[in-house]
Amino acid sequence: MDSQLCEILDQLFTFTFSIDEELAVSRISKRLKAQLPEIKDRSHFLETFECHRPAGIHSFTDLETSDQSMFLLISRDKKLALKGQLIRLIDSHAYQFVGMPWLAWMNEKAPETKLKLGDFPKLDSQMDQEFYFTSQQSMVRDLEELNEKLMIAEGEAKEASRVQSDLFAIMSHEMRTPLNGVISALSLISDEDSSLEKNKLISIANESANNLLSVINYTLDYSKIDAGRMTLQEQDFSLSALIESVVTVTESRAKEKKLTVTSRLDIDTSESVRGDSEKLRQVLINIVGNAIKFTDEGEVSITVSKSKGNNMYCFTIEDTGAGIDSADLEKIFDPFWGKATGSSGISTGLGLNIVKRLVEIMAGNITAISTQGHGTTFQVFIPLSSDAHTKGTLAVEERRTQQSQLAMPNSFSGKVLLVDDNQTNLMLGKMMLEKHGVSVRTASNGQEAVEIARDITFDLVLMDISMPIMDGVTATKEINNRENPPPVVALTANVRDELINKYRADGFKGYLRKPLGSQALLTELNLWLKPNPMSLGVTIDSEKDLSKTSILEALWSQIGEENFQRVRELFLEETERRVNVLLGAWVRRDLEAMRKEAHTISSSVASFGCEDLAWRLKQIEQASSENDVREIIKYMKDIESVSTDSLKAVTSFSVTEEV
Amino acid sequence: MYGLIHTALRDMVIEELGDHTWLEITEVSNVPSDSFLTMRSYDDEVTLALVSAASSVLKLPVADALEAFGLYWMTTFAPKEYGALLDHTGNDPIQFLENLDDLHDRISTAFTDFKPPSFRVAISSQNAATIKYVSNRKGLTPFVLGILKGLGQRFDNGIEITKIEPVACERGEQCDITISLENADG
Repeated sequence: MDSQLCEILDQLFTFTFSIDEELAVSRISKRLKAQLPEIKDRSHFLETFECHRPAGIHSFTDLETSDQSMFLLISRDKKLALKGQLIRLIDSHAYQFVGMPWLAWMNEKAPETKLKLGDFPKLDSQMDQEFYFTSQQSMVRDLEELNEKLMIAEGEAKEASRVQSDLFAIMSHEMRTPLNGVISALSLISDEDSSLEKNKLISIANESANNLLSVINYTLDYSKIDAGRMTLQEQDFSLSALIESVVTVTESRAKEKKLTVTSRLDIDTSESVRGDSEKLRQVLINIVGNAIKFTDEGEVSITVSKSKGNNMYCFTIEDTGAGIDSADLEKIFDPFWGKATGSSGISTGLGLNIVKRLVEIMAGNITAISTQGHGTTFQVFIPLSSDAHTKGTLAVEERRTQQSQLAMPNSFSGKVLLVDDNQTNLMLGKMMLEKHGVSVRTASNGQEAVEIARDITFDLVLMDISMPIMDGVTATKEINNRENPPPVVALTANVRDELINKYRADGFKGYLRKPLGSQALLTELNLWLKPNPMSLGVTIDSEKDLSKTSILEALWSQIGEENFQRVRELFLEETERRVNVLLGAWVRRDLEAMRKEAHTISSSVASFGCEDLAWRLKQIEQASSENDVREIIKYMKDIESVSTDSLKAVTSFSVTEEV
Repeated sequence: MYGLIHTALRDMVIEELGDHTWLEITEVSNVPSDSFLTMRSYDDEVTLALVSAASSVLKLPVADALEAFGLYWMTTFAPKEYGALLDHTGNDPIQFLENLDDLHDRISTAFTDFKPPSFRVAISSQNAATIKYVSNRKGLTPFVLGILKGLGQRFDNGIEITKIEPVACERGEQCDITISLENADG
């Protein structure tokens, strides 16, 4: 090879040398000699380098078969690695190696060998790539940092939104309590005591306060939905009962405007369905209330139908009102829409937005069609499973058969001692009794009851059975041992014949089933107490109270909203605490403590309509008394989540009547 | 300029003056985001806005802020991010400066919008050299002075800038920077 060509190759490549047929190296470039002083003219190629690639080079023939490959060579002293290729000149029997440092190997295996940029030919891109990869790594790091920042920002935004929603919820709740006071006070101001002018002012104040209450209720619902706290609470229910309750709630307003509210169910009403009846009811009451508000004559009709082949139910609410123009129709579900239109009466503009969001929570859909002057039709589509078991319905049926229509007084005079270790039951019972005009003392266990009954003469004692310190049976026996004892009526969830007979033998004069129903209570009071002379006769229609409304609604209407709020607060606090005690007892495997706790909780949760939780607690109570750990496990494993869900349902319960 | 430069500026301010100062600088600069992607090319106005905001917040002349940044770049940021490459660039200040164009050439193959300056070294004596600096951008000579001082620190061979002679040019900026080295061996 002529020297001019060698010079050109040396300028193009960092390392060059020749390999002859005997695998001896020659014409070694200066820069290779500088980096690898051991290499000499006539050094053997394979003794100087390990041929990393291509593999299997042992002879000149091997080189000939691989002369198109990339060559990766590592010096035997492991201080230098080369990357290059072989070139063969015409008429030559030798190969020429041309290459440069193998950068990746050098960086990793021989970092002490200081290579410089000048060791790499300009046409070699290894150094460029190193820079590129390093920058790519920085880029990935930048993106990861950004991602982390975004996640933190997202978390902060969500937290801020939650705090805001919480604030709204708390404020709405706090505002509602004094407002209820205002409304109650206004309603107590007798019309007869006031002049016409004053009555007008009172009426305005009353209406404004009620409007404000509905605004607050919407704000509370809106903030709950916003905070994601409005979750699905499914239960079995009867659609016909639900529709009737919607009609009942809305028809008084309709009557004021001389409108009729009609309903038609094009479905099989004999079977119950499973879904969130509270939310569905709220949605329908809102839409029907709205329809009444914007209809001056004619009627509002509700039709229920079901799609063939699936579980989609359609609720159509049609009115003969003013209608909505097409531009507005697109916006009616937007928040604050009603505000912008300046419709008559106070409005948050949140009603239909809440309706839409509730429908979406139920995996449903809502549409509205309207022609101005020809009324509006809302259609709500909700999936409801119709193959539900009929536990809930059966319970209602059972209660239904227990009461017949009776007429009796609703107010009595006398002193009643109410004994229960469950504080919620005590407060609730006291409220129910006081509604009927009696004066009430309470005691938390048998011992306390015996002591109070020693100093005060009562007309009736309502006594729980299972209580700490002293149970109801022992306390009743002690009370009965005195002269002229008051009648003691057992409060019990166990109404099996043999137990009732046993209670009678123990000296109880009767029994009231827990949770306490207002009809049964009234019947019992009528039996033992004197009616108030001014008392009005009341017809007990158990169907109306129980089948058309949920337990919570019945409770709400029995004791009034303010009392309901108070007792609900206590119930939530006490149930949560007692469920924790139950869990603690389970951890300790203290089955006796579990039996007592499950018994105590089950009575009050039933009062608040948590039937599933009450049923599970009953099973736990039963299994604990039989030392059946396997059975206990079956019900204890879900008790915490069932309890949380049940309490959530009670927390989110509200009665809203207008949009 | 690439995001790499902005990230370096941010790191310097945060390391030396804290997060709140960087926040203040980004607010004053009106730059829409304080996060930069290394390999994204940003408009030069972003860089200028950040530098002038830094100068205003730190109450430093722009030239002083740029020189401080050049020093930080050479002694802290570049060694941290591109240590191996700097090692390959030279064993002493003069060798490093002689290879700097080669380094920038290689960076240009990866960063296609990169418009690096050029450095040509003329050795005048054992411990003195003149660097002919040619840039497409105006006003960055103080940044180069910071780099030169940083080079002295990197190789533990103090560099004194003895003369800066601007060279007239149609666009950008050119000057001859004469330096003397503390030690004569490189």
